[in-house]
Amino acid sequence: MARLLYSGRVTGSEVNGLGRGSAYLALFSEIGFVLFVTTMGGALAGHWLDEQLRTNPLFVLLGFLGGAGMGALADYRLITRFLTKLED
Amino acid sequence: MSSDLPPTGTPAKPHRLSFGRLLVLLAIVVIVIDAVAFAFFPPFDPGQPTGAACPFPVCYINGTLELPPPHVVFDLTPAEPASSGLVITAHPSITSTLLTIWIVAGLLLAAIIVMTRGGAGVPGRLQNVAEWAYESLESFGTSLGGPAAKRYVPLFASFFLLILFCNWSGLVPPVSRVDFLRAPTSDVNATIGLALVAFFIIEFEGFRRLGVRGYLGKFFPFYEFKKGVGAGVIAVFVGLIELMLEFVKPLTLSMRLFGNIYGGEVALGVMTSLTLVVLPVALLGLEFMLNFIQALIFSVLTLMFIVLAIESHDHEEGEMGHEAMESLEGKSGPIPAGAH
Repeated sequence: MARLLYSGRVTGSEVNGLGRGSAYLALFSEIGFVLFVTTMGGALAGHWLDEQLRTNPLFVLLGFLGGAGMGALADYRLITRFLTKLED
Repeated sequence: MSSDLPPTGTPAKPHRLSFGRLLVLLAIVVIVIDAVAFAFFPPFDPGQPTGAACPFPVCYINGTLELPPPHVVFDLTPAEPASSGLVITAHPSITSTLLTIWIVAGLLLAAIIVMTRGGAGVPGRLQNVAEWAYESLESFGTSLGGPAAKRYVPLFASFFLLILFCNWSGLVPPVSRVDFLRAPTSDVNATIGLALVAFFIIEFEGFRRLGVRGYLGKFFPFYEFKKGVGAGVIAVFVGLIELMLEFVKPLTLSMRLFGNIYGGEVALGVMTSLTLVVLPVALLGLEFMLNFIQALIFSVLTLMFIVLAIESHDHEEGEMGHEAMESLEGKSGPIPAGAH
């Protein structure tokens, strides 16, 4: 007779704890990447503008700061929504 | 008489390897294979002519280093010049990573079909393993996203299993050791493909569940102007940030997976070429675990993004605009539920 491998251990609180842990891990990882992508995007857009307008380094600084600011706000929204969902 | 002795006629327990011993045994096997491979297939620099001397460490590193663009196995448009992109390629061809992802997906599909072909009868051992895996993933997914996530568990499980085995495929020779096979997730073109599939499903589900007006209302909440110009401006600003975040999602999903797997493979290759056997075994164990975590992160984020996308905006942007206005006016306290 086949031996059952199914165990209550994997469907109870352990999985919930593991699930929440991995969700936090994913969230932390996403926070860093969002900030990186927006800051980098802002700085690159600023660099392109500077090259077009010959205003180096005005827009690269503005783009960097703007991107970082947008990234911080985006991270705030991401964290708020994630945590609200996880605590439901 | 000692009571430690087994009673006469009791069958001896089958000898089982403990988990620790199994790991040690696996490590020894890997070390032996690595040493044998080094003895019979010494390192060489692919850029140098055959038989040329291979000085340590540059040649050893060059011998294992793989560049981001995958090897083209079959060129679908040989008349056109190959793309000159360093990382992202846009030349119609069957690459080593595409071939490997087909093989991994085919093997995975075949394994699942074989494991679940028992149907409704008494499940066999393999079917029990398949059911255990699926139920674990289902429980895992619903513990994160709540009942709304249950519908998306098959997608979550598919992403997880496919990415997991694609990641792990790079640790098993001959993948990444021969030209026509390479871990699919170590190629940014493959991870962008996976992230775009996730992105379109997230958006499609958002539109399907909330309707065009309801879903776009999350990003362009002009209705907030009814509560005042300040609240409206803040809500629209937050909506635009949400919109930007929406397009950042496929970028972060693909770059994280590619960066971690490609970086891990390069590190593993370089460490193997420099230190021969013992350290690479430890690194191999670490990579095995990290590859699992990366597959989990990709699938968990996709699931959570879908669940967040199908959520009504009743407690979203408007609440933030309202909160900000209240803090500016010096009021405090939470917004009552259903205030919008």
